[in-house]
Order: sequence, then structure tokens, then C-alpha cells
Amino acid sequence: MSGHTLSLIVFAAIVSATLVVTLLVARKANTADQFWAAGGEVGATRNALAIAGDFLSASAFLGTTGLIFLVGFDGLVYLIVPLAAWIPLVLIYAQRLRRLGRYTLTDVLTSRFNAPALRIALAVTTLTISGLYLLAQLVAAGSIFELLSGMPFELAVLLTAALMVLYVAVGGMLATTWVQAIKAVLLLSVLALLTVLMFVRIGGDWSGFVDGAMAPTGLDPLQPGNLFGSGWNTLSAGLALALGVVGLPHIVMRLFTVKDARAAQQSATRTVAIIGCATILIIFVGMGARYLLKDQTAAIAATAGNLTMPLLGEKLGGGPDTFTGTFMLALVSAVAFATILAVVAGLLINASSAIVRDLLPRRLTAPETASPGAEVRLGRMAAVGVAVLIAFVAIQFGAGLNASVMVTLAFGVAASANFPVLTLSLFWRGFNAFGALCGVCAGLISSVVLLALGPTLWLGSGESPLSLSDPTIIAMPLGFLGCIAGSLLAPRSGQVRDSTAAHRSAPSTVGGVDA
Amino acid sequence: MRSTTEPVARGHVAIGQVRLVLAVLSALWIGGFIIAAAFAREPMATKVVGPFSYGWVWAMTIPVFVLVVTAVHGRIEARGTEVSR
Repeated sequence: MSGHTLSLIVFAAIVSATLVVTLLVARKANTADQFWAAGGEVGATRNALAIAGDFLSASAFLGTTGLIFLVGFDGLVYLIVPLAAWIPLVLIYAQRLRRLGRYTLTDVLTSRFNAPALRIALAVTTLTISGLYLLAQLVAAGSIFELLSGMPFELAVLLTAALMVLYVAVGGMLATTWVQAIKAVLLLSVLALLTVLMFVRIGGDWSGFVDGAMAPTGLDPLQPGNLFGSGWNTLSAGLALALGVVGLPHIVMRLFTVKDARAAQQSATRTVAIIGCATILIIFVGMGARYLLKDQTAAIAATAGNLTMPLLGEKLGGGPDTFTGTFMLALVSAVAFATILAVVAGLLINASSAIVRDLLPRRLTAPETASPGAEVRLGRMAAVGVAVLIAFVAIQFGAGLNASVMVTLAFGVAASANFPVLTLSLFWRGFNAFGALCGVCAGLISSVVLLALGPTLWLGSGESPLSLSDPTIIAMPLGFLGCIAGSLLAPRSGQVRDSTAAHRSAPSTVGGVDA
Repeated sequence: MRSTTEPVARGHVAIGQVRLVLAVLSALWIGGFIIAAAFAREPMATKVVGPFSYGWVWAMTIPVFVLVVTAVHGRIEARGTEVSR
């Protein structure tokens, strides 16, 4: 049996299993509440697994392992700092967010302000973030599928896009939550398996392993700045990674799939435990890659590090010419692919909800003017449209981009456009709708423009005009500035509905007490 | 006569204070890491434990730090619930 055939059998088995779950759960996803937010019926532990599944995307599983292998310390920053972002989310935001909204981050923010323009601006922000995130996942999927099957990158991207539409169109949020939970278990199992195999390979020679892993391969893995370059780049990416999570719509949206604020808090806490364990395992596996794969540095660098984890599996299984080596390559690749499918499905739900609930005229979905089930049908159509668009962009521009670097750009937009508005709407009584609109626009426009002028996304000839690869250090303060200036300068016309008082009087559990 | 709501109020205050302490500690530990990674490059690359540098050791403490903080927070949340009941 050839390597490609075995790979495809393992891959098909895992994808089919998740698809069966989707079909079984899909029968429940007939109402808008079930399609967008799983009817609020997901348990805290399963929701925690699903959030961890969303968080541990191709970026963490494939991208950061590759970056630890290629550049050392800076790869650790990509892996570690987003985990730290869960502290503010758990301590400060989780229960407050859950009390304020039902479906989307936009719902949360517009629950305080009755401003249609703000809803549209937030929907555009959500689409931008989801688009960048989806792009990273599709690029990683293309690389993986290319390795697994030998098919061209472009075809692999199209196939992934088709599968992710299938998941969302059939199942909605409830099915996606199940798939994410299954995938999180698979991912943790594969990480644990690689760790055990690494221990077996090391034998008792721990110091030899550590010395080998930390030895320089062109770049010194101890030295900060191998990837970020300047200190300002590091600081800017650190800000994006640390604060962007709080503004990531597809993560925040999952806090609404449980039945109450307490379950949301429990979900967030358990999520951190799961992600923390995975992070420790990924560090170890990354070091293992540095120890074992130095002879494949050129091949790994050619895919921006995205294939480090599958190739490590192959090596630990016995090498490319053995059955177990090929099986391990197939297993790790298939789990990585399942990871990507599950993440993109969640992202796609998020993007389609922004289109249907925030951008389309309300009469198309309102029960009094639209046919029954119109909102869910429109959601499925929107998912197809977004998938086609992102697949096109991934094929045109995506090859050779590291998944982690791409995801950090999404974090940057979230930290610049969503984080300031979300924070001030929860904590500043003087904040108003005009300020929120100014803040979203300032954060979104500045981050997107600066990204386009930066080295990562620069499409012009010659060097990019801006050397800052992540613009958060400029765009996030602009977002806050827009919020504050807009709030202070807003006309007192009375057209803005501020329901802060209603929120303050909302029942609070003790655990959800305002800090 | 003691108010029946007093224990709940005390629970609220305690949770708020512990949260504040945890948040400040986290900001110092993780914010300090990012700033040191950005601007203290030579010290961060200095070997401190075997072949590991200060930067690597600091980074590897953060998952453990985050786990401890959330565990402590989960614990006081649970106690807060007990008090309120």
C-alpha cells in the first residue's frame, strides 16, 4: 500500500467520523437559535473542549511548532502569549459578556447602543477577522492535503472549502461544537502520543535531547528577534496576541452556547486548563522537532514550517520508508486536517451570522415578514459565498505563508477594532454609540491599512513602505482614541439608547460579581 | 441582628479583591515577558538553566502560571457560590 493511499484512508476515516456526528446532530439545528448558538444547550465541559478546539487551530498545532523549529524563541512567543490572554477573559470578561448578548459579539455591543451604523461596522470587522483567520486555516490545509495526497495546493484548498461548507450548511453551531470537542480530544491524544514516542526515542539521555534541541541551526533559538526583527514588532505582536483573543468573535461567540453565565465562566476556566496542557505538550514536541528534524530544515522552511508536526510524526514512527512512519504521518496530518475543518466551520458560522444578522435587511429574516426558516437558509447561502471568496484569495496569495503569522494579523484587527469598544462598553459609563462607531472605524481602518502597507501583506513592488509587520501598537491606541474622542464629541440628540442602567441592575451570581 | 445578605456581600468583596490581585500579578508577569522579549534581548538570550536561556525559562513558566491563576480563580468562584447559598 502506498503512502498516499494509507494517508487518504486514515484521513477519510477521521473526516467521515466527524461528518457522521454532524449529520446526527443536524436534525436539531432547525431554528435560528440552534443554528447560531446551539440553542444554549451545550454543557460547560463540552463547550470548554469546543473552545479549546477553536483556539488550538492550525496556527497552534502546525504553525507554532514550525516556528519553534525554524526560529526558536519567537515561536514560543506566538504560542505562549495567546494563552495568557485567557486570564483577562476569565477574570473580567466571560460572565459580563454572557449576560449581555445572545448570538454574536455584535449583539453584545449593540445591546447597549441602538445604532444600526455601529452594527454594520462591527459586522465588517467580524468579516475581516474571520476572513484573515479562515485564510490561515485554508493555507495550512492546502499544505497538509498536498503532502497527504500529492494533489496540487489549489485543489486541496478547494476541497477543504467544500468540506467546511458541508459541515456548516448541514449542522450549524451545535454540530460544529460537537466536531470541535471531538477534534480537541483527537488533537490532545496525538500530542500525547508524539510526546510518549519522543520519550521512548530519547531513552534516558535527557541532557543530550535538550542540548540537541537548543543547538543553533543557522539561527540561535535562544535569541529573541529571529522572526520579529525589531523590538517594536515583538511588542506589537505581543499586544495583538495578548488582547486580540478578547475581541475574537468566534471565541467570544462560544460563551453564548452554554445555558447561563456560570456555565460560561466554568467553560472559560476549563478551557484554560485544556489549552495550557496542550501548550506544554506543543513546546516539548517543538523541541523534539528541533532535535530530530534538522536534516529536513530546507523542506520544512519551504512550507513556512507548517509541515513540521506531520514530518515529526513520520520520523518518530520509523521514517518515510516504513509502514508505521507512513501511518504516523497520515494520522498527524489527518488530525491536523480535522483541526482545520472544525475551526473553519466555526469561523464560517461566525462570518455568515455577521452577514445575515447584521448586514442584510431585517425584513429578510424577521419572523413577521420572512418565511419560516429563512434565516437559517440565508445563513447557509452566506457560508457558501464566504467560503468561495476565501478559497479564491488563499489560492491566489496564500501559498508559503505561515499559519501562525496569518492568525496574528487577525488577532491584530480584533485587538484594534473590537477590544477597545468591548472594554469601554463594559467599563465606561460615559461611552456612547457615536464613540463606539468612531472606535470601531478607527481601529479597523488603521489596522487594515497598516497591514496592507506592512511587509506581510504588501503586494506592491519593492520593499513595503512600513517595516512594522504587526500594526497593533499603532492601531489599538487609535481605536481607543476614536472611542474616547467620539464619546466626548458626540451630539446629545437623544437618539442613542444607552441601556447601561439595565445591565447594572441585571441579576448577578456571586461568581459573576463585578470586579 | 446580622443581615442575611452579609455573607454574600463579604463574598463579593473577597472575590473582587482576589481577582484584582490575580489580574495585577498576571499583567506584571506576562506584560513583563513581552517587554523583556522586545527590548532586553541579550539578557533574555543568556543561558540560565543548562542550555535554556532566561527567555525560554520565563516563557515556559507562563502556561503553569496561567493554569495556577485560573485554578485559584475557579476555587474562589466555587467558594463564592457556597457563601451565596
